[in-house]
Amino acid sequence: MIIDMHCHTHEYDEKTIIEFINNKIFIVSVADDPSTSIKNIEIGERFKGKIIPCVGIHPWEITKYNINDVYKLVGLAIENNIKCIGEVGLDRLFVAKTISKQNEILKAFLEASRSHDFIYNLHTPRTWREVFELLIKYDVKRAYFHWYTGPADLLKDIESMGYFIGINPAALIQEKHKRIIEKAPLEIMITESDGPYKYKSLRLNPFLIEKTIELISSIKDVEREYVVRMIEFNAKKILNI
Amino acid sequence: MHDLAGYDICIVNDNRVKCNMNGAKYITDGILVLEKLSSYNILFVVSATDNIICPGKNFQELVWGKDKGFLWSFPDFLQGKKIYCVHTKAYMRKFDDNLYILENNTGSKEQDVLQNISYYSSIIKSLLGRSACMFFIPFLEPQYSMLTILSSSTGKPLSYATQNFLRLFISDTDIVKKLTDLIMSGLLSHHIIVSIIKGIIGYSKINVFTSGNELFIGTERFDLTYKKLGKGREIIIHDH
Ligand SMILES: [Zn+2]
Repeated sequence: MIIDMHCHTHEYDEKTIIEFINNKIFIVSVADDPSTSIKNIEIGERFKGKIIPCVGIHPWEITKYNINDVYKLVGLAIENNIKCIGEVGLDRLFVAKTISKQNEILKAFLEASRSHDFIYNLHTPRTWREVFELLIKYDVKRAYFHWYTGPADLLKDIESMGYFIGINPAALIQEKHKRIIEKAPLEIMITESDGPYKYKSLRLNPFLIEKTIELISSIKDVEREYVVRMIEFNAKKILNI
Repeated sequence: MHDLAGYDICIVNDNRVKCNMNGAKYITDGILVLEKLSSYNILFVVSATDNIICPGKNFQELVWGKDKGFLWSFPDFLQGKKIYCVHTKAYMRKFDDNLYILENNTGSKEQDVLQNISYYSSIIKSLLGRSACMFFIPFLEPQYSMLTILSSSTGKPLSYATQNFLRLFISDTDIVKKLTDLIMSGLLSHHIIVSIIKGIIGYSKINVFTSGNELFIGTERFDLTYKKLGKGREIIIHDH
């Protein structure tokens, strides 16, 4: 089974989603805002056991929303037995100007979801340690640092907390991300696509994960099947399935 | 010499793993977790139709009867860490009576493999007459092959150009003589010989263990009696 731990499935049409599933790709679908959160819940219903839906507000979208919206969303998640919150986080790289509002929103999510054992599917450019410390503070047990390009010294802390990092097909062309594959242990890696986002020449999508697996396999000098099975194992651990 | 307390052996079947060291666990979905390894080397014994994939180097696979052995060697940086291995179904294909091709991870071209097997299988069969035998297919990089025979007098390899030893512990001097003759005549490569040993001796288990750049192949009996070597025989193959 191929794991896509971070995909904006709501942006694909149903035919394409079915294609992913037929190719044995198991997807965790992240949301950008309340309306895509609702769409995700529907997708999760429609593709039960194949797609795990998340609800969330992306740091790039937070200006349009407030703490009430967060509480409503978390309420909706609890009501619908949704296990995952994302894409949420902090971003000092692309949207540094809104960082205080971002903090407000993220903390609201953490506060509202306290003691519910949600999986956090996180966006953390240049806020890796900051977010990590928030997770500890709010006692988050299951967290996933999507497309991790953060400092290598944080990897140990991530590992010791039992958190995971996302390995994105961007590693095929992004040196910074490739170095993370070298430095991080396979035991904390999960593959993802972040589809349908466009990164430079890459139109990210779940089918590119296969290439990511080959890359991990060659960097780590282990067999392809070993990578596939370990990542599946890691995903099942965080997803508790 | 070698401290054989230093090698690890695990037997994996169904959803269980039993090892000679503590801290080996079989968890969901065919994942094995190994802790407290006492060496960098481990031999897995699994069903012949299974595979074990670990991080590190797989030096050789051996198949005998219904069992299969996997020798894995781990790099330094894994020392003291949890090591995860994956238990899967193998890619083993029956070639002929009692002969199998291990399809995965062989550096050999399929055609070469088939040719070699055909060539050796007749020799093996005439030699064995009866027994099941296993078959090794050497891996891609000869420098990683631990089964190379090195001349004890000249220090030069008899077979592959590597710096490793093969030491065999065999109880039957007749067999040893036959095997030595075959090696000397250049008819058989080392990996075939191990097959024959198993075939002839017919033990249910063969243990393979390494220390540094030396590899030992022994049957269960020798394993048990190793520490009283006087009672067994240690044969180092000489090249003249
Ligand atoms: Zn995303």
